[in-house]
Amino acid sequence: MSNANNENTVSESTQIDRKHYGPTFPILLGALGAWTLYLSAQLPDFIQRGRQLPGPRYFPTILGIFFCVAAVVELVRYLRQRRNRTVPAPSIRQRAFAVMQDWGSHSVVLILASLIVFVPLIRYVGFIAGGIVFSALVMLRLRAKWYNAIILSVVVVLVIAVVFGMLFRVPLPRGAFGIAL
Amino acid sequence: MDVVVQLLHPSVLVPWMLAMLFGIFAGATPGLTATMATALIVPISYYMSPVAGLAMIIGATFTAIFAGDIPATFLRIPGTPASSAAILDGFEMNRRGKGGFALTLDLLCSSIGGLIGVAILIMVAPPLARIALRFSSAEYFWLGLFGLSMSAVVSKGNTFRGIIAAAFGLLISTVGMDVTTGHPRFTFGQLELLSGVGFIPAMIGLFGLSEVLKLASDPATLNVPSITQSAKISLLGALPAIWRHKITVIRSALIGTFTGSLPGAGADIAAWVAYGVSKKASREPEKFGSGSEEGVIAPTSANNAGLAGAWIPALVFGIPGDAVTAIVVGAMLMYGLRPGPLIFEQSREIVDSIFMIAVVTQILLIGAGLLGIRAFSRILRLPRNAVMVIVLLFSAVGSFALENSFFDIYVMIAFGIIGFYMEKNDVPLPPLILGLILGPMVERNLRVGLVRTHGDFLPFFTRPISAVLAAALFITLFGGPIWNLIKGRLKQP
Amino acid sequence: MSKRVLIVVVVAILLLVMSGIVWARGAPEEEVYPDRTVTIVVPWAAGGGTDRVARFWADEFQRELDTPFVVENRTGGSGAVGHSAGATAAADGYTITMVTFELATLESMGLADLTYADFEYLLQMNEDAAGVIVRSDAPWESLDELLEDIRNNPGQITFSGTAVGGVWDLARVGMLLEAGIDPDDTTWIPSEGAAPAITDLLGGHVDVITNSLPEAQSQLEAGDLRALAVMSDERNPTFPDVPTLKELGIDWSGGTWRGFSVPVGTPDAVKQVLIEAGQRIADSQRFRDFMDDAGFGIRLRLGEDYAEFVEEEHYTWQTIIREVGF
Repeated sequence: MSNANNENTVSESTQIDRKHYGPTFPILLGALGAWTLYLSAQLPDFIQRGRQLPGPRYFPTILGIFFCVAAVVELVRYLRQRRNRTVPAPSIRQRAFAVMQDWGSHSVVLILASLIVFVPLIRYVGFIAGGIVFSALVMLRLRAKWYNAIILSVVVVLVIAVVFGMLFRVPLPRGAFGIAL
Repeated sequence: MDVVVQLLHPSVLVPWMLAMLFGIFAGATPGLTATMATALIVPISYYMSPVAGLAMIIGATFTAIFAGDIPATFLRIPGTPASSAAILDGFEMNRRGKGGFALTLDLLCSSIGGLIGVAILIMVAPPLARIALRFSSAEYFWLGLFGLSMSAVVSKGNTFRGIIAAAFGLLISTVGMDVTTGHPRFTFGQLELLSGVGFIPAMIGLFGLSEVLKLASDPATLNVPSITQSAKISLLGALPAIWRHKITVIRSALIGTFTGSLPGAGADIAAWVAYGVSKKASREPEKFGSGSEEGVIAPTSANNAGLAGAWIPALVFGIPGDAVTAIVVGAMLMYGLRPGPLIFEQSREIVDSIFMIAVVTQILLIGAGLLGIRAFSRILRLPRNAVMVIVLLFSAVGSFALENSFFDIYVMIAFGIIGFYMEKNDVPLPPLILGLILGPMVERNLRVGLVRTHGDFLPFFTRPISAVLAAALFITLFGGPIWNLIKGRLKQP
Repeated sequence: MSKRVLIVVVVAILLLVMSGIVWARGAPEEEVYPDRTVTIVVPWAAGGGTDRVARFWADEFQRELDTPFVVENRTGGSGAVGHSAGATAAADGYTITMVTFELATLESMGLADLTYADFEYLLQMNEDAAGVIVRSDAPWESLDELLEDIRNNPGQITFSGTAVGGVWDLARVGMLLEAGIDPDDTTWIPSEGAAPAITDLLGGHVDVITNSLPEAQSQLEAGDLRALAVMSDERNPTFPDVPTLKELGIDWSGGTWRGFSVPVGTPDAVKQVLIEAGQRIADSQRFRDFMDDAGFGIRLRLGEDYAEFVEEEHYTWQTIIREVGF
């Protein structure tokens, strides 16, 4: 409990600076804008009866420009806020720690990674076997008791298989071995 | 009277009730939509009487649209696209332990909204359908833009980042084959992207997965049940709230019916427009987005009414107003009925049965809905880590189910990451959904409209309905500030 | 932690081994086709016209061959996704594809690297010719009057019916080229299908649609719309008063069609089973009633005939698409 409190205070002190006007957001936004503009430039014109009309690139180009402008605005906001800061700026280490906290230490990356692995898994061993393994592992990672994890996983996966597979006739993956298990 | 007897016959009543339960299932499960439920019912219904088939379809779709609000309220995952607006205030209410109340309110308003929609369908279907026919590219363009302007309304105070989110949604909506020229855009050679980014996987990722990730990054609450107090359901308790906001209910239902009756717009757009209009018209707009009763009432009244509205062009012209009625029109052909101008004369009994079924469904909906809420809140009594895994599994299977596509599971994961990152950076998510829904409507209609006019933009302002819509948009956007300016000037001297 | 993980890993391995055993037992047996579920890939959405035909056939095949036939909708990219999935499936007869007209245009339109040669053909059951449909209060009494008007007022008359490069658009282009008119003298208004196009026509937002006659049957019967011509070799029995283009002196026919195919390399014995079953279904009264009720035109081509037809279609449409340069 005290550990959790401790973590909270750490994240709070760095959160406001990093969260609202961190430099990554404007940078990402600018990159998105530039990328959009670059890709849109390769789209063809649309000419009908000799007249150029808004074509495939019309909308994406407008959006690309908007993202670039928005990136500048966000950057200015960030810089202005940095100048007016009363507390000392978080160090690189603090910032990295905060990002790790968002993404790493608390299962987020693990959940994402297991989801990504989940797709090939159910393709090869079928939904039921793959689903049970996936769900049990993730539940364990989320601090469930192991017997709970296994029982719940089996029940939930079977329920899903019945609802989707039988009631709604969704062809759930049966695995490379062609069995429903 | 014959109609009533026919409907009460077990060969109609039993499949009808079963279909409503089926609808609850389909609606409450992310990835299973009302359209899918209808597509599954139609082949079964060939072996029954047309009345039984229509009762099943109507029963399943109206319940599914309501049931979509159940996971939206409890878990922030909209069960159907039409309930994406329910994540705004319904979920906020749930966060404050009032999920049961929010859903009761939601259920009753669904039923009332549906009744109003059906009443309009019965009384003025032909003239309303004639108005809907006058809508063309220019009108849909303004309507779409009007919907997009709602993104400022749902930005929870951070308007600039709300607009960024809406623009990002618009950008995503351009992925795929360009309708006007057939040219692929931003597909990177992926066949799966030719038809665009799937709306349902994106929605499940943005809201469902990102919420799980958010919970996962906060380990302190993992082993506790998701709802501590039982989801209290009291129909009577919700009535005073509805009476307080009766104008909101009626206004939203009217907006919903009309939007639904347009062949180019559906219940999903209806819900957002009703939400935005209600906030603008509300005496306490600041409460919207933080669990306001009106914020729950408006979208749900509108989406069920919109479903009824979609039947208007379907019956009057044989032109479906949404994906569900598209299937219905096909099914009616199979029953030997030809929806269209002649159906009111040639098959009057069937039309009367449809009306009767639609009315009774709205009332039965309350029972089926209560059952659905009860059943769903049981899942939430499990420890939170179990709920999270269930959500993950349903998110993955639900994304897969719509197109039987593994690619869509990756789309869902990608949007989960995007949603998580955006919320960490205080970028509101609802505008992104708005951009995604309305992007095609705005872009296609602008460009197709310009093809029609050979590049001339003037008709966008001079066509009568178009001009009214443009003016309405201008007033909602700038009316408030200008009025304040004028008032300020008058007071100064 | 490690203990829990260990248990799960053990369970996982057990499950894998079990599935392996079942698989190993099932594989070496001599197969009598079909002995398990057959999937019908449909490149269009559930509930649409193609889907309805496919589901009817799935039921009938199931009855004929006593094996489950299930429909799998793989939508997207103007049919590119579903057709590709069907062509690349295992060539064992357990995945058959409902191919539609779009197969003949996917390559030329630059949507997918896929042609008629990527399939082997079982049978075609449907063909719907394009029509030329106008509002009943339109000034043109005949197709000639319409074409004359286009010649005299290039760029004024708008057509609609589907997306750019879709079947009804290409049918329009073919008709105009054959009549000696530059297709660019009319404007194509893209729509997302028949329903919005009919709405547009009824609302007066376009002048002509080239959808099939059954698609507009309600409005044609009610007298809101009028058909000037149909782009088929023979008149449509439901609309005996509508002349064909050939009768009007324009040598052009075009429209959409549907049929079943299997991936290249499917054993002949398997194809034979499916073709024979298909023929029995196509001969049944139930099939005819189904197609009539749903408003689909019946056109039967079997095996080789069908294969030749699709090849011919490929080159017809390729020429048209190159001509206008989509």
